[in-house]
Amino acid sequence: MNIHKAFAITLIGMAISTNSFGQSSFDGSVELQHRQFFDGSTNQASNTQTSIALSLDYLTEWNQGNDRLEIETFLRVDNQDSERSHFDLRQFLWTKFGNNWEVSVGLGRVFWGVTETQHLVDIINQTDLVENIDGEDKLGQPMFKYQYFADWGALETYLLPRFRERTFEGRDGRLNGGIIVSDDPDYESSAEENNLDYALRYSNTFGLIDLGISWFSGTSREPELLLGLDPTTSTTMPFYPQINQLATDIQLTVDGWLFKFEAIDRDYESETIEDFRALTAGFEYTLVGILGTPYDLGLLGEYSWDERGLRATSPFQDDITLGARLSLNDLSDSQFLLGVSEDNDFSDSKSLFLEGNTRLSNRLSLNVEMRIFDAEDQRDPLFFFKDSSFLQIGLEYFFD
Amino acid sequence: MTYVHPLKDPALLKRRSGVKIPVTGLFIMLCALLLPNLSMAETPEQKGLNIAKEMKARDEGWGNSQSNLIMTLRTKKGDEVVRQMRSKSFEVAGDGDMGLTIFDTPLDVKGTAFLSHSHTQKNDDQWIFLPALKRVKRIASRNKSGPFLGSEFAFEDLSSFEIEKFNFKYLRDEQLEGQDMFVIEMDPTDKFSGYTKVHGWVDKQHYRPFKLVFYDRRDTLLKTLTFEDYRQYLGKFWRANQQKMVNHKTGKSTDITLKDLEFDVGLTAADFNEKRLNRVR
Repeated sequence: MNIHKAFAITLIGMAISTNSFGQSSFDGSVELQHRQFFDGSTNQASNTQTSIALSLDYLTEWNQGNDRLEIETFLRVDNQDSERSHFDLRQFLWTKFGNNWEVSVGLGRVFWGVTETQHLVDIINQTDLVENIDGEDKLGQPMFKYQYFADWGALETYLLPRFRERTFEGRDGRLNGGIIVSDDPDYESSAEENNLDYALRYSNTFGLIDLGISWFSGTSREPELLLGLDPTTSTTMPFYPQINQLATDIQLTVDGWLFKFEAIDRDYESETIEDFRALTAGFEYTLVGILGTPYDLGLLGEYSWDERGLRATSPFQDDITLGARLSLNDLSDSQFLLGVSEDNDFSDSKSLFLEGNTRLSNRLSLNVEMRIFDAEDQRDPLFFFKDSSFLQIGLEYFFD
Repeated sequence: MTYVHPLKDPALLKRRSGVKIPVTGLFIMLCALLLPNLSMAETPEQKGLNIAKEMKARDEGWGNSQSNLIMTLRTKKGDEVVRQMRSKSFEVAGDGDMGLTIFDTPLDVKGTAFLSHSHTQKNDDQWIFLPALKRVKRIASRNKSGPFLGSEFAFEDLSSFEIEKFNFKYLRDEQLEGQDMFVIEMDPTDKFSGYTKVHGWVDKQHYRPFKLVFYDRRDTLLKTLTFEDYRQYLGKFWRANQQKMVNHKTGKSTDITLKDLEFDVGLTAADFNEKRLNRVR
């Protein structure tokens, strides 16, 4: 891959060049991760899954900090699922900072939105789904970005010249949802993965309200998975259609409350795929120093709705999630997040998640994650995860 | 008739010199009577407010500054954790100041940035940048009584000092470390503050705080903050390079040491714009 060659050349260049043109920093982490699944799998996949992940970040600035190069690499090697063993350039981005503008070129990462349980509005980057089914891990996106700041708000414009396929767990993965996705996708665009996508976002703060309005036109990051089957490999062929999507994200911050709202209106160019609207809305409230302890307790609730109902491609078509985040405020910054999602269309459908992390030493962190899936109805997307409940423990060592 | 100037009339002179003593005496008497009366007219509340205003006035015009910060957290047992961060500050005329803190260690939170716009008349605005997700999140500043990063400093302790945030009362004069001090009481006006009152020791020479004693919402002794190693910058502005907060209830403590504090470093309001928080490194 050309990207890898460019990366190697740049790294060598960085190593040779002295530090005369600005500040540089290097850091990274290595994580040993183990997943233990509670139930046997129907397709004989293992109940244990162990992997190791390496992240290396490099940043250098020159021209009085007005030019910056950021490199973030990620590598995971998994002992069960070859699809989960992967390398990604999360960032390889050059940015030039002007007085009231910024230009970035390269592979970048961008986050849009305000909610916690689902990120409807966040569309620039492809989801690195093999990392975690929460969809928060993203692949580096080739981009040209121009951002302008004014009194009337900030305007971001993007040209996205090359599409990146979503990653999916393979046959040996336990969280593939019963669908084995082919590595050979279909595109609606005749330019296939080289379709030139573009996106715009306006954002501003009006007192207590933060508002974002965005537009995306191009290849959908979310593939249609039920359309075609590859007969030779009996895998599902992902189909990436062309879409136009209008979106908004709003947060109202009043006293201790955060009220959040995200909505999208997605139009498919294809007549055969159903256009839809979807939203996520919710709140977050934090209680400080509960019961005379130094602990903080954050409460959150979010509701997600999708116009397509049971035909929705997302599991969040009519779902409520309630969560509680406990911060111990100790020397190790220990935190726990416990959440329950319930599907209003399927009364037996529930998922429970627990995320926790603490610091064992200045450089060593312990990350714990548990997901319990419960579903009875075959029409429920969660049904295909009902034997995939797991506990995950990660030990992450940081260095610089 | 020989004209004699009254002032040179020996008889008058004698008389005048005769009354001179009582006049001086009367002046002293008047002073003795009037001055306490004058200060009686200034209530303890007014005097406290005037001291606070003088503190603020003497610190006006510092512009912008940056420093490296070392935060040392200690438990009662003596366990210790060190955190390094960089801090940038920007003075806003007519409103609260703006502050930006970027974390360098521990490495798992490296690159996390905390932006605060303090306000005199309304809640502060606060944002946090999470580098792993590239996400800027606006957070509820009402949680001001919560601890800053697990330290003994609450968010409100690190917010800029504004007159409007307290009701003041002068308590007494007292010596501290051999210096003459005013002792004032500061009652937070915000009902969401974690304190009922704060007692402050302010030196009479430069109006610098040397000690703050915090009382919790049940009005019992909670924490003591002491300021040490005062240095003067730009020939005018005093900053304590060492702050020590001790929690009397838990026995835990947090020290903040400032390194390489510099003023006039060319920061502008744009460096504190929440829209640009994701560029902060």
